Amino acid sequence: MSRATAVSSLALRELWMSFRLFVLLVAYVAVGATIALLPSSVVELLGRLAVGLAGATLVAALVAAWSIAVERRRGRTGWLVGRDVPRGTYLAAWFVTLAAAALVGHVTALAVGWMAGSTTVPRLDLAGYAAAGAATLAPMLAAVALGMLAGTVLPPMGALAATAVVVGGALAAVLAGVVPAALVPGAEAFAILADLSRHAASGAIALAAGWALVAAAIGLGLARVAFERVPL
Amino acid sequence: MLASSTPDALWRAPTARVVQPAAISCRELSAGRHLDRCSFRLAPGVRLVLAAEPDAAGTLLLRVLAGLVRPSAGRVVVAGIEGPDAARRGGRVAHVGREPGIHGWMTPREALRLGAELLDLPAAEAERRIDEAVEQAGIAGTDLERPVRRGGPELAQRTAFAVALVGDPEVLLLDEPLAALPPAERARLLALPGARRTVIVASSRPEELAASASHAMLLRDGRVAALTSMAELADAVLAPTHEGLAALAGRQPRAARG
Repeated sequence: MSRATAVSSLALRELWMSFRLFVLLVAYVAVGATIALLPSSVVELLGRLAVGLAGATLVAALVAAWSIAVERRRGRTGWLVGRDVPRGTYLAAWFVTLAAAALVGHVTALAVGWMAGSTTVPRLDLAGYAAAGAATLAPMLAAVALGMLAGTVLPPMGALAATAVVVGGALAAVLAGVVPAALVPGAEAFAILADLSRHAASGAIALAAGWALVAAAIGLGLARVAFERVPL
Repeated sequence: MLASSTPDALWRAPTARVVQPAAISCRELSAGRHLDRCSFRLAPGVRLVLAAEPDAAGTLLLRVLAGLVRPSAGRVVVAGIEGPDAARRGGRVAHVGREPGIHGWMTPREALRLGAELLDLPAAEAERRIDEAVEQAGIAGTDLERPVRRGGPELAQRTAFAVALVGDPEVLLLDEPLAALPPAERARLLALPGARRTVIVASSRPEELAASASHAMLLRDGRVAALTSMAELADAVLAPTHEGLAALAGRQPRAARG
């Protein structure tokens, strides 16, 4: 077993045993249930789905921040790094595990959204819905990366607070229309999904996803740099 | 280079001692608030009990030596490996901190197997070393398959200690690792076999470990205030306590410590 696989499987088991995986999946299940159970028009459905996915994305970021900070604080990161696990490998393995767990929930919620949308009048356009939905995966990755960055440099409660303020604040500001969506890299994808019934500009969807991926790469890069220096 | 597989008898031979490198060498080491241009050398086989004022200074020194904290200045060589990268030290250096670092849901056997796996030990060799480590750490057979959390802090500390032994490290860094165990059992565990193995144990009560230590060191104001053998301490009619080491620090010339 490679070191990355060993860390990933440890991370997954830790998420499961600590109920953090449960919390993350419940957040996405709640999104799906809200959409499936509440009768609504396409406009309402998409608005609710976008807000729900943004909320679940915040939960994913909080889980990431808490996990990395707690693992450091309890000496588990040091235990692994002291046994030939490079710091970069450790961070990458945790990112893959957290992102994969969130991805499962995210895709499931999108699938439920599609099924609920297929009974509304007018029906959802599959291509546009799939593109806009897939674009919201990118800000989810960015949020997880930012949560990991906070967990790398801050103690557990500080990491939670910083992530809630930065990621939660940005998503809330965009969805509430307080801040133009274009000013927050990636969060625009949620605004596009919410507004999909009115127009679906593929260029805007690709741009929003692209900016979110850039934000994810920058967040991960900063976390990687900080993680090399941080005491374990 | 003399590797960890060198038989103890050869390591003790006078000819080998001439070419022995220092097991640990620190020069002008600074880190955080508690280490300030700290310098010392330890020969292989030394069993050092480390007292520090404050205790956090001892913890920090061990974490720097383990590669878990990067020094802001200075040079550190541990088991022949220079630099702060812990991930290159593998089985040659093992650190057991105040936090065992093992997930509470893991069983001791799982933790030991993972430790062996990460060190790339062949399966048969890993099983042999695991059995040895379990015996040395005094983990009961019934405890091997139950989660560490259910065994309380004593099982967690024994497990962390056993995992450290699996790599058969040349340098073992212990930061109050067995505080949950009775003093007699602690002394038994710290009297590890192997003349080539260098052990540093940080403790707030150095007198409790004096019987299993060959040397004692006092870290004060971020530097080595006293570094002596237990025999020298006894010759000076001083007890192996904080106070005894502090009294020795007043008598010992600075050059003799580094």
